[in-house]
Amino acid sequence: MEINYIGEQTLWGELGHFFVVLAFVTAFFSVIANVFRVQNAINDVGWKITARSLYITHAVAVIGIFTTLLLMIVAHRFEYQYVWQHSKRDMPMNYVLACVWEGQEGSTLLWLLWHSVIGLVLMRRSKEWEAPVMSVLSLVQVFLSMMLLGIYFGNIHIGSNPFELMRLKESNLGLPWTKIPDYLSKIALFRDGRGLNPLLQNYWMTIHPPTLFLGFALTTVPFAFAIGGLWTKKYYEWQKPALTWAYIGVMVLGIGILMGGAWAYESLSFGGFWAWDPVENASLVPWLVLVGAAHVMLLYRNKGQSLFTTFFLCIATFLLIVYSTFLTKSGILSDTSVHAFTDDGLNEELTVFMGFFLWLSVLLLAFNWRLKIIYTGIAVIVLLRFLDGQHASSMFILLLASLLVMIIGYIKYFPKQKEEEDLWSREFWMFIGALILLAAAFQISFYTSSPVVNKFLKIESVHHFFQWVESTTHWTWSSKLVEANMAPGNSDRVVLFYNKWQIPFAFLVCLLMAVTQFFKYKQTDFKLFARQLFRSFLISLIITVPLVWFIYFNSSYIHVVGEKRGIYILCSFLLFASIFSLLANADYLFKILKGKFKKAGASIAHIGFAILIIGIVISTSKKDTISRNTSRVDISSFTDQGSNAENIYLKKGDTLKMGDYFVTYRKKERIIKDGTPYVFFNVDFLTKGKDGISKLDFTLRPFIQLNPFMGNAAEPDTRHFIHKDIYTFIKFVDAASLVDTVDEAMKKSQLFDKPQNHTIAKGDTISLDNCIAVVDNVFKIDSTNANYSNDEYGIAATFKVFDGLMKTELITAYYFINKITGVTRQVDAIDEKIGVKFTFWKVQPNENKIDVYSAVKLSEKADFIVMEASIFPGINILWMGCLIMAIGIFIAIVERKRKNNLDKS
Amino acid sequence: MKKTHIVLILIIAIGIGSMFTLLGNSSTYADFKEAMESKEEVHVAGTLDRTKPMEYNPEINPNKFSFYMLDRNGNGKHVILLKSKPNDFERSQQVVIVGSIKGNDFVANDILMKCPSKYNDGKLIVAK
Repeated sequence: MEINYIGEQTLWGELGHFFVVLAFVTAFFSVIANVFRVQNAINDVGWKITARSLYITHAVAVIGIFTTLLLMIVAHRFEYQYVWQHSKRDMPMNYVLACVWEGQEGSTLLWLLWHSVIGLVLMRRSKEWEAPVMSVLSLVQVFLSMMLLGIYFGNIHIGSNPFELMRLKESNLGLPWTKIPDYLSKIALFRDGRGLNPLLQNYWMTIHPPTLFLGFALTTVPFAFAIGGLWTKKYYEWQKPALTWAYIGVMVLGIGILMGGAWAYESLSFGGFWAWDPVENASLVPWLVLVGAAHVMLLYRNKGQSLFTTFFLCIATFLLIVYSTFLTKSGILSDTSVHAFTDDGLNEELTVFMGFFLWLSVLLLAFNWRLKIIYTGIAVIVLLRFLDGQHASSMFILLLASLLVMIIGYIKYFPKQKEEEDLWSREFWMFIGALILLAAAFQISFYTSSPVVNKFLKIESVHHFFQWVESTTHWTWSSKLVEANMAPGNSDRVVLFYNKWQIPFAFLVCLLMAVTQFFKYKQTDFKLFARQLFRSFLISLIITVPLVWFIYFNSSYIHVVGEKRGIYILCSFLLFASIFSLLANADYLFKILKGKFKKAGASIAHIGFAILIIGIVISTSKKDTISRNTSRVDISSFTDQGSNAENIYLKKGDTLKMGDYFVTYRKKERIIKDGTPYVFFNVDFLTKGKDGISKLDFTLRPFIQLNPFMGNAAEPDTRHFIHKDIYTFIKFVDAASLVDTVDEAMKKSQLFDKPQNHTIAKGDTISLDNCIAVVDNVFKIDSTNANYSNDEYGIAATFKVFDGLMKTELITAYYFINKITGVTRQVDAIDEKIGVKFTFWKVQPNENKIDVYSAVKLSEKADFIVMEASIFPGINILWMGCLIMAIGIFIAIVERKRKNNLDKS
Repeated sequence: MKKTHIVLILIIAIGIGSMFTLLGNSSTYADFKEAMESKEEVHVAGTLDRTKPMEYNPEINPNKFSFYMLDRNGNGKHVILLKSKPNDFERSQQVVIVGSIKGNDFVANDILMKCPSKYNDGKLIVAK
């Protein structure tokens, strides 16, 4: 039976899905056309036009998908699942773009869109590289557009279509409401969408994802060139065009990641700008590898060394981007990360995506046809095994095989240079620097991947192997491998662990950044080298020692315990290295380059990076949580760290000491902005003047955004000074008091909150906002009771009320029915001290149950906040470093372009 | 042997070292029964037991919040979280707590919550 749905506009979805299919098909044929060009007809104009028009059609289709989705959101077509879930009517227009990429499909679309744009640029500019590079890029597009297809082949579900109607969504199929022809007007839910997650309603959501995804998309370009180079056997020439793209990628992805940090710091309540969250790590790792790749490519351009490493790093960067997408979108991290997506059924598709490009890359790195055939054979077996449902084991085999093939390919078949780098040459140390970056990336990646490692360890044969290891060796670590159940530990420990590893890596990188520019290619006169660096070395030592003394090893150092002492020592070394790096690069800039800024891109970028590191070290290691647990209860006995007392309880009007300030929670204000209610909490910070009188220094207004659909979101407020930031956010506030801000005056006149009904029996527990009540007894009253009267039946209910101090009070509520008229009356049970009232208003006839209204007293007592406040010293150094680094890279890009143009003419 | 090879081997050694420290530094996922046996820090995933009371008295201690939780096998335990009560805790669908058993309670020093507010699956349940 065909139902004619009223009010649905299916044309939108059909158009959108048409574009998706068109994008997929054109990408597919663009691959074929371009591959054909590379193999047979590189100079054939007809094929060139065919390939180009296919790709242009593809790009237009992708833009079409994006535009359709955007217009659907603007037109409020809530019959579509994506629109309903990510947007709503009264949302301001500036969040419309954010709605498009909030969801999983939308973020894929954003990636797709950037690739399309980059592809159009590449098509125009890459000349003889056009065909191979466009083949690779189109191939990536095939996989990405497949993720939006949303079609079924029997049981196999490919992609998730953002243009799906709400009623056709798999989880809704067959539900009764999908059979109602006028469901759109009948069901209130469809009148408005759910809207953007309140945490995401800010300008960061408009600028951060596009930047990050542009960074992601840019990493595809060096990858495409590397694959193209391997494929066409032009092992050397691909690097020249790819290097500029790699630089742009380093800049954009770097900015994208730091924007994420800035967002987290400014408007999310993570308590800082970097939490080593798996999702953050997943984008940092490819960046580190890309930085390594860019350096090694530069090295190769200048010296002709480390060719294999350039291939390896460019390929690894892209594969890691795909892997990071897998980590965030497959749901595998949902137990370890706060902001990973949950499983959308894309798991398998993403794994195939990853596996395919791994196979393709390693195939080209095998350099020998026999090896290639064996490897492809293994890949086919792996694929069959994968389709059979053995995901973990097939990926594990592919990973091992790829590693092995790559090593054999390199050792046996790869043409290597005979000449060895001199120990005192720039190329040697730059190479080492790239390797250190790779090691740092590996450490982060491996630790982040613990859920994946668990999956691998659960493979039967791997499991048996480690069981065998354990039974023969009895090593303690092997039992963990057998359990295959590793979890990252609590967040403090995770951060500590990353810091312990990454600070030494950063130290080495900073040292290399300082010295490497002073090396010359080929060979360096060591004496000259030492003389040039000696001054910066000495000055940085002179700066660092007192600085470190002042910030770490001052009088408070004795209170520092445990591993934090170790971290302080590591930080001191890192501070030295980064200051040394800063000075040495500045010295290089002025003495050797004589201030020629056009050529100073590298130095300026390195100075920026050094400043960034200084900022990170100071602001994180000296982050001071000034809010303290000022309560009577000592909680240190519960915890080994004894440091969980990071929140302050502020009652309205009270003034408490917090750090160097006195703070008062003065009032709350309810504001409605863009249709969303916010509650601001005004917290005054007072300082003592010379005369001993406290006066208002400044007011911070951390706030909570109220959202009935998605829950309330707390957002911080920060006071910026030049040398430090004071950062506050609301950890907890009584939900009832949020609602009551509407009218303070009304609240005061009204003694009790809105009543809540409970159907209860003797022995039941009622849990309320300010207390817990146990129904002690329910009984019929007789003449011994003071409330007894002859005309009425009377029932009493007694409650034991526990407040926070576990003090017990017994109170009684009565319910009377007139024997003749049947009129009822109640006598409430009230506990004034705790502020709670019970009204016994109904008897359930057969079940021995009664109905009771509870109401909590609305008093000044409920008006409090639990707040965390931290000082981040020197955080502006961090932002400044970021800016300088971006400028430096930009100068380097411009210079690179100029050089490339010179080479051509 | 070339210098680069020596460095490469060193780097690989660091890599393998970092793999082993993962073992030393990770805790494990467990249910309450296993947590009772191990006494070490574990992660327990489960859901909030809505039938039992939660307790949070910030006036006395803003850094202590207790509730009852069911692990994935449905076994319940009283949990003391040494942090403030997470906003919207009542709405949580899934909770992961990090900590260890002390006496009769599970003392948690960290919590991860999955709320419907985070990237939700778009399921629509209409009462009809």
